[in-house]
Amino acid sequence: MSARILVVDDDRDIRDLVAIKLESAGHEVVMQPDGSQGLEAALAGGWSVIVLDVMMPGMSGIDVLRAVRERGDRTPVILLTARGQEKDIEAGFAAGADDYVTKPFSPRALLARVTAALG
Amino acid sequence: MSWLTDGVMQAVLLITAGITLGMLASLVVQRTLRRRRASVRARLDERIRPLVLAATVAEDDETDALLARVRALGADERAHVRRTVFAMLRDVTGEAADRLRAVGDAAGIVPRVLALSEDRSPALRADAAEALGLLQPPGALALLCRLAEDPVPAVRTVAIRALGAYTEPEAVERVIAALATDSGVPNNAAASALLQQGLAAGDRVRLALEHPDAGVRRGAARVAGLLQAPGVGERLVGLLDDDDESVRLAAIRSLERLPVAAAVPVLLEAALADGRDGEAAAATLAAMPPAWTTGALARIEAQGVPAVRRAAGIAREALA
Repeated sequence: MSARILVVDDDRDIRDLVAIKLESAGHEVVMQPDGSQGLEAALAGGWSVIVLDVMMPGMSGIDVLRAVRERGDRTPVILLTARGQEKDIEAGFAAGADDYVTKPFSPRALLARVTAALG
Repeated sequence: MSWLTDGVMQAVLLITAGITLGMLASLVVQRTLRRRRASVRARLDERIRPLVLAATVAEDDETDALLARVRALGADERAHVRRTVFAMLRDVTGEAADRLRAVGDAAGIVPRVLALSEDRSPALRADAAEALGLLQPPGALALLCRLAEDPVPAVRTVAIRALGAYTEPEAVERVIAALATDSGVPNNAAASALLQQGLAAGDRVRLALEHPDAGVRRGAARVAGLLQAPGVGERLVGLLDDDDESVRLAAIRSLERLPVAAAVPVLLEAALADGRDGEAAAATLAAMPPAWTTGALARIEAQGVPAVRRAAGIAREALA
């Protein structure tokens, strides 16, 4: 099943690594390099899953997630968090995240979580 | 000022103008060279990046052909492959990391890293230490143990972080040694490496709780609760009256994750004493099984200062 996935991360390597793995599974991927552009894209709608980095300069992933949920958008969101940042995970779930993956991450495990989120 | 004739003035002005022009020209040349390097790298990146990315998702039967393409690249291109692999290896684990290591190997990354580990520049030795941890080539452990003794603390710190990926006794030993107060390695960095080594470090962590150096005891106490290593609970109780406050605090916080009934009276004493460990002790008591702590929490409620009562109450509410 092909899905439309939004990937928001300020780190180009991570964006590309996530994108190539998801594209290799047949999904369509759109990438955004920061929180504000990510939010703009997220609010435009039409996503099957959003993969969102937590730590970004300016607008964080948690800020983006809150803004998305405030609009009543229930698109599944998977957060990318740094290892050991348990507070980010707590804040993410409180803001309405569906799942999280810690960095450094296994692209295969991320794909499995995206597939699970797609139901 | 009579010596300052027109001729001398002219000479001084000419020299000043010459120096200024020289500096300007040097700046322009440096800027041009920087731009040119950036542009060469951008062009290389355009060609090399897709190849490295493709390798991370390649199927087994595609790998050999990809690696052959990497081996056939020119020297500059292989250098760019090495840089790209090094940067990406920081971000991924599992199968993708294994694929990246194979690509790096095909681009000659290992001999380059081994050479850099002996470079005169501390920044390059630190890069080599990080790469050794990410690539884990044969012989890396011995090199990392050597870099963990580097005269430059920043290099030692990177080497200790990298040793977190190794579970051999000598790696655990170096990481424990780096917890010492005068090691020059931040205690957090060494404790994280120890945690990464996991239960392989369990026995040494238990012994480190009784080390004469307070930094080693503190680091081991912080990690002990997270590792849940067998037999460390009782030793953590022994640290609750350590002379060093940071050791006591680390032991108190670790007991929150690794509750031990024998700790209750000592924690209660700390909570009711006029000390800085009181709030942490109260929070730990509140996180322990209620069957052990009902009496202790009642005493805190009756006799504790407001901050300590709040610490116990907040944690209790969270548990409920």
